[in-house]
Parts: sequence; structure tokens; C-alpha cells
Amino acid sequence: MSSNPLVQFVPYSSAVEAAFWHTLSTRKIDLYKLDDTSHDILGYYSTGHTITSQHATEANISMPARLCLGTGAFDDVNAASFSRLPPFSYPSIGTIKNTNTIEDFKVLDKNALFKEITEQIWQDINSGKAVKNPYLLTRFLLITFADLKKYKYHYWFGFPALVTETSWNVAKNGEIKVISDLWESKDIERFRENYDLFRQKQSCANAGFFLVKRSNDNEIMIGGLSEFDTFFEGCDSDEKIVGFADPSSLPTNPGWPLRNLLVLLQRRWNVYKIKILCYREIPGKKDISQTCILSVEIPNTAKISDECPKGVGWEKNSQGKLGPRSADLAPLMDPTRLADTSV
Amino acid sequence: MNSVQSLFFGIREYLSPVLKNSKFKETGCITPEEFEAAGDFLVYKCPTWKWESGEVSKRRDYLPAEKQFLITRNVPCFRRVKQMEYTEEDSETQIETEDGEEAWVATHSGRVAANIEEIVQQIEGEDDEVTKMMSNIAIVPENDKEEVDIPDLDDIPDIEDEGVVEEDDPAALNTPSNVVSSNDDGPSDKILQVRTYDVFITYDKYYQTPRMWLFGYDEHRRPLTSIQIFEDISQDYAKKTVTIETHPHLNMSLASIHPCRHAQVMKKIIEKMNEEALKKFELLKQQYGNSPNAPQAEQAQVRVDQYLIIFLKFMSSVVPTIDYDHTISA
Repeated sequence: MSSNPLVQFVPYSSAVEAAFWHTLSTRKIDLYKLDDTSHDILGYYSTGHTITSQHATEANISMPARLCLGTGAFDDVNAASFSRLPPFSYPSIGTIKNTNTIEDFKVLDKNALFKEITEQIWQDINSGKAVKNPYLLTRFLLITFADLKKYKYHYWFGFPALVTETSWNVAKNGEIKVISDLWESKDIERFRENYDLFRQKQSCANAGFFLVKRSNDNEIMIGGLSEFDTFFEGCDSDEKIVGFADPSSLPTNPGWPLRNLLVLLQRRWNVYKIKILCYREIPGKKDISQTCILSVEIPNTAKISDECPKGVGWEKNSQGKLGPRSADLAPLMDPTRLADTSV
Repeated sequence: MNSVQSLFFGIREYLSPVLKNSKFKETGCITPEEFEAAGDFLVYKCPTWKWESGEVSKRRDYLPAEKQFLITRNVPCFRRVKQMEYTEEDSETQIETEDGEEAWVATHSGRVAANIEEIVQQIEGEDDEVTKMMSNIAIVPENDKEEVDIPDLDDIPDIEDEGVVEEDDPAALNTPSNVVSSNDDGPSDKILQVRTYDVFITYDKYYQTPRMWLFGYDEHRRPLTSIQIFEDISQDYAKKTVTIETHPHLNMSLASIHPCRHAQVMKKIIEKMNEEALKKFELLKQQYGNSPNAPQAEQAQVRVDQYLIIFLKFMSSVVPTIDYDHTISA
């Protein structure tokens, strides 16, 4: 068993819209002033997909698994702000800690903040909140320092993934495959239609995590995580499928949100082996052909201890090292420089 | 100087009457109502586009509050125009229509092409008048001063003292952090860091046409400078028709394709399309004879709600490398 390969997950790449920094500056000046307490922000991600190059000489291109922040990031976190997210995206709740000085940013106890978010995810799993609202599994941390005079922003994202003692392996004969290798095209189409209906009902908020099964009359059915106990009644273990909206676009690896989902499955329903559907669509094209299916298992069927597991997932900077990133918006926001380029 | 001019533009916009009567076929202009209808149609046909409301203080009252402008985000842009012009010949492909009757040549990117594309190509390639018209555009606001605008990203000191402790995480896939060349060892799947654009369409009340705005990010998600953006704009247009201005609904300045000739070009494209459609219609009429099922002439004409789709096709000749959704799905 132990010879089976470890499941490796594709980390998020943060993608901040310039307008987000602008909104942060305005809020810092008009609203927060010297108050540097943490605030909730609303991010979003879309499913990954590979873009086929038009030129035969070029490789196909997989876009990074993006976690995005836009203008609406500071809206209150509720159904109305969810509905304002870009089409075909899924919400992710973050905590932003904006320090007053660069020194504060440097000496900030980042590990403690990261641990707080990790513990929040763990609590939501245990309390059942994350079953009802699975988007809570994708909580993230953003620490920033905004140099308002120079329009420079230093920032660092953390995407906490709970690490249990034993890691998930790819199950025997459960290697990741594209859906068309495993399902007939009419089933794929039925699944796509039914998932679309499910997503509309959930108004996207909780459509990022779901259950899939084939009913007796060969219909493909979709359910919410909270139906877990009843939904799979009478199903063989092989027919139980848990799906998630997968930001990864690699045909070989699932994306980051699956990590906390697996911890939830193990903790709440003692799942040790499960089939996973990595939902990937080309937005607006009704094309889900890049959706993948794999089976994962955990060799050790011991229960997870009650103690909060460790969290990992600081984003690396553009040099591939652990460290903050920076954005310089002076050319876009500095009034004196704007005047230079105006007509 | 700048503020005086923006004040002037502001007043000019305020004073120009809001178009009420449709004359898009005669002039290529559209009314705000038609912009809204065309926007709704675009969002319906290409659902990656979305209406947004923007800054409350900048709201225009001739458009609904929640439909001030259109946006599509994170649009990949794989290669620079220079590279594209290099490979243009390779990518010319014959594409057959669904009924297999006619074939045409699709240049540039081999995107899924509709008949509109053919006409746009014709206009660009053969119609000297339009080409001349486009190249005569005399707005050259950019000058060499721009060199100054490259931000010195390097002068942000690296913050070395991270104080972050993280254990090795074998379950995390190591994704390449640097740009991977897309053609070094044949076709394989990689995570490629590419430039992306947020593309906006606003309604320009003065020119009574849509106006396109671009906000670009580099491979590391840093905002692109105007010089970098010009690398993605067809050289026939860069610096002539593309200016850096303040977005009408956001507090940011970004690149915009100046709309001073949009109406004329759109009128030309629509006329061509209607001619083509009429020809087809005549053919069909011969087939149907006097049958009551015979198609009506009006059905073949371009409708105003298709305006933005056609507009995007036209724009794709200005920014050929940005692969935004402008294909009508069947």
C-alpha cells in the first residue's frame, strides 16, 4: 500500500487586481486610519483549464490556479456580494491584516496569524459549519503594508491546508484520468446539466463542493455536502463520488481546496477511501471535458486526534522562496505621474 | 493643463445630447439604450462578460446603475504582437462552415470564426479606404517621456526577515515559479505564467460608440506599463489610437482604444455584413420560391443587439493577441 504515490496538490497563485489596492488605500485613509485590526475580505477562484495552443510547435498551456481579489473584496460577506463575483467563480473568505508601517509588517507574528486561520478552518470542520457552508474550507490570510505615499504595496498570502498525520495516497488503479476516459459522453452531459442546476440553486456560494452518484435508473445526481449521510445510502463505496470545483489545470494533479475537503471527509464521516471528481470547465463554453476523476485513500484508518492539525500553505514569491511580494502602482495611481501620460 | 482639458472633455460630454433615435446602420453610432441591449446580448452569448456598476460617484444616469460598463477578467495573452506577426502565415487555415459549403481563411489565431470574422478580415486586408482611415488617426499623445514610466520594481527592497516557519510539505506540488518557455521540449502540459488582461467596454457618450479599455498584468501578476501594453497592440494602431486615460467608472488610468473612428469603421463593417447577408438571402429566396416559409429580408440584416459582438471582432484586429471571448457559441 505504502508504495502508492502521494497525492500532490497544486498550490494557489494569488492574483490581485490593481483596483483592489486602490480600494485598500481609500479605506486605509478614510475608514481604518491608524486602526490595524484584521478585516474579512472576499476572494474568488475559477476552475482551471488548459488552453490548447493554436500553433503545432507550442505546448498546451495550463493557467495557474488563481485566487483573485477584485474591487468587491471589501463588500460584506453575504449572498449579495457573492452574486456580484465574476461569472463561473467560487467565493473564498479571507482575513486581511494591513499594518501601519513597514517595520510592523516585518516583525508581525505571521505564524500566529496563520495559525489562527488554520484553527478557524478546523473549528468550522468540527462544528459542522463547513459542512453547511463548505466555502469556509478555503479561508485564506493576506498580510499587507500599503505605502500610500509611494503607491507601493507589500503583501503575502497564506492558504492554510490542514496536515494530518498520515498523507493521502493515490489509490490502486485510481490514477487521475480525464472524465471521458471513464464516463460515456451522455453521462458527462447529464452531469454537466445537473451540476449547472445545482449551482444555480446554490447561487454559486456552496457549489464549489458537492456529492455525485448514479441513481438506480442511471441518472447522475448531485447533492450538497450536508446530505452526505443520506445521499449515498445504498451506494457501493465505489459509487460514492465527492466533487469540488478545481482551480488546478494540470491533468496530473488536483488543486489546493481538496486538501481541507479530505480532512473534513475523514474527520466527520470516517472516509478513508473515496473517488474524487475535479470539476473543471471552460467558462461559458459548456465544456467540462477537462474534468478529472481520481481515487484517493489513506492507509492508516485511525481517527484524527481532536487537536488542531498543523497548517501549511504560505505563498512563495516570484523567486520561488518563502517571502512577501510587492506591487508598484505609482504609474497607475500617482497623480503627478498620471498627469504626464494624459492627453 | 491636464485638468483644464479633462474639464473640457467633461463639459463636452455633458453637453452632447444623449442619442435617442437609432441610426446605427446609417452612422455606426448607438444610443445608451442600444448599448444596454447589445451588452445584454453579449453577456447572454458570451457569459464570461459581466455588467458592473463601478464607482458610485462616477455613475452615468443614462445607463442603469448596475449596468454601467462591461468587463471580462483574467484573459490570457500568450505572445506579443511581434511574435504573432512572425507566425501569421503558419496560422492561416481553411475553415469550413458547418454545412461544409464554403471555406474561408482565418488568419491571426485560428479562433473559431463566424462570418463576421471574414468580413472584418476583408475590411482590414482589402479595403484601402478603411485602412487609410484608421492610419490617418492623428492622436499621438504618447511621446518619449514614457520611458520614464517603467516602474523600478527592483528598488523595492526584498524583505529578508520573514520570520515564517514552514515545514516541508511533500503533498504540495512544486510549480515552477519562473516563466516556462512554451516550446522547449515539445507538447507537454505545464503551468505557464502568461500575461493576462482585464478588458472593459464602456459607453462613450461623446462619440456615441462603445469604447474598449485594457488593464494588463505581467507573468508575476504585476500591472503592465503602457510600453508593455503596446507590445500587445497591433503596430498599425499602437500609439496612434491607443491612449492612456482615466477610466470613466474607476479611479484608475488605463490603456484605451480611442473611439474617434469607431463609428465609421462599425458602419462599414455593418454595411458589408448586410450586403453579404442580402446576397445570401437572394440565394435562399430562389431556393424557397414563393413558399410561405421563405425567409424575410429583415431577418438577414444585422440587429443592433449584435453590435457589441461585431465591435469585439473589430477590436480583435487592434489587439490580436488577447484571446477574450467574442465567439458566438452555437
